[in-house]
Amino acid sequence: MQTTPDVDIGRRLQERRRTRGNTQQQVADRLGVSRPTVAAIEAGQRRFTPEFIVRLAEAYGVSVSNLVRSPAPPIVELAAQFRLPHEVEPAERGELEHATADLEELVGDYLYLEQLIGAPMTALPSPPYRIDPDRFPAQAETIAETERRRLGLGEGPLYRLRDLLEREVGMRIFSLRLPRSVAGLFAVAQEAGPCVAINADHPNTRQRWTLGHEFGHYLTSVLGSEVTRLPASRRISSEERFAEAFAGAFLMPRNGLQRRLTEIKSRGQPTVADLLVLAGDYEVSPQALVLRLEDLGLVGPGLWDRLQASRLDLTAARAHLGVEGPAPDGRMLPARFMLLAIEAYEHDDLSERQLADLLHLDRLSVREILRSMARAEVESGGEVTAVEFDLSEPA
Amino acid sequence: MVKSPPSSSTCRSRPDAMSAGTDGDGVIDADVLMNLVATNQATEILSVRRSPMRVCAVTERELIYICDGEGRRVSIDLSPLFTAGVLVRVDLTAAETARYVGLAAEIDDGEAQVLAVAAIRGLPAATDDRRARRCAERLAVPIISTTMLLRAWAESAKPSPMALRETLIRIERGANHVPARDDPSRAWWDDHARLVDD
Repeated sequence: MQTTPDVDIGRRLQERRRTRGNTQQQVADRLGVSRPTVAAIEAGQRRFTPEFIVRLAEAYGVSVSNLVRSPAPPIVELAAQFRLPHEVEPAERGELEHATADLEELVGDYLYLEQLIGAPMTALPSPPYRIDPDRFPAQAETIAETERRRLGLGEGPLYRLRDLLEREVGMRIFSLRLPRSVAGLFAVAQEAGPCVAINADHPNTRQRWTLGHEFGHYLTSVLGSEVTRLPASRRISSEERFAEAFAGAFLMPRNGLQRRLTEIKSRGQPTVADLLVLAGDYEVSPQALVLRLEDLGLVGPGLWDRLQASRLDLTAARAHLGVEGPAPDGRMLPARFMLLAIEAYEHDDLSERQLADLLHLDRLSVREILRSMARAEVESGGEVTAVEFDLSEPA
Repeated sequence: MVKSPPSSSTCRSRPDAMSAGTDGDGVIDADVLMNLVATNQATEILSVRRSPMRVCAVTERELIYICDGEGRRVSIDLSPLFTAGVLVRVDLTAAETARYVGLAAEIDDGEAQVLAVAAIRGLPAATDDRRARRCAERLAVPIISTTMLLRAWAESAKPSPMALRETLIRIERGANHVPARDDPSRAWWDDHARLVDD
């Protein structure tokens, strides 16, 4: 029995092979066919029998369902966009390649869920800004203020920044294991808009800074990608300088910070404890806060250097004050991704196993989630029924 | 010889809880098997059936964990069930492989293999998954659920109310499973799992 040639299966196989760093020859060896045959398969020039589709799935390390699923998940070409920085260590290079492949796969899954539910991402269109290197850093300051106004954020600290950027800006943000020296990945895809991965192992304050940084990139790039390294490269581009300045201005707006500092000064000379509490309020690191205050001229220059030289144990001090901030955001998937997946399951568009695959969990964990999120039930007269939520306006 | 899949005109009526739980052959999916393993009595429960349940390769691969009494994850070991003869491995024929690949367009590999074997061999499929069950209905594949197997065992082995309660609670805690609201045996489950000590 022969099925028709499937260009889509071929493309999917090719994408899978590339993102996993395999060569056509390696796949050919696994399948026991020649390399040109693999090239023809990937080009959609071969007919596939069911048995051969099963063999292909095994050779490429993917499920049969992933290859033949209908509707087919969209193919998002993100990984190929990333130009890995030259200074990345060979050991980290492989890790980074895997991370870009994971990001690509997750974004594809996200679009697939939106397709299943019929709920494409709707977000405020961002006005594109052009970076003017002659107007640094004032331009970053102005754009951050404009964006805060546009998004209705006021001048105070920003909480739940990741959720905010996902909801209001339409960024697709994942928390992934990245090499230690990499803070984040940013790419804009035609089909998916801005996509970001933050380092799951970095402190929450660093993750928030990375989010601000990547948002800055998004505001100034139509399509593009970037690997955000830590510490920033010595030869820093104007885009990087803008993104760094924007992150500081967006997370800690001048007026709000000035007002808080005035309040503190009205009680007397600010202390280290005041600065640590202020950093805790804005959920930024003490270093980010003090350098921002220095840049704004709200404290004398060189304060951060003096604090470092004083050998104060800032970590212990923050713990004593109870202002260490939240734990790192290890939620691999955006909240909306989870909700769409569960909704698809509730509508019988996904099986339990498919849900587990999409959430990258085993069945047991998925059942835990489903039970905790299950619709409330009431029992009356031996009948178990769901509690209905009426969200209509009261008459 | 490979049997043809049953057409709608030969579709069997849905078996009642007792007969479906004790009838012979069947193909079991990972979700039901995981629930049975969580009881620590899977061999006894499956022994009530007259023939062993068939297990497909993907099903066996995807069974990884259940929770023990302390909430810790423990690996699932199916080997005692194979040794006891209540499970047998099944290899897919060419016709079943073709059906499996076709079904994988809408359900996952494990469920697709189970339904392909069940449809081609004219066997019931043991699954609780709503999407897989919907697919099975279309294929006229009779369905067996976790609760059907448990009720058949309870009727046959007659465990004490407390022992039955313990079995159901083990599934709730160990496999995070309670029957769906529309499961015809949900009331039976609730009655037996919520027994209060006198």
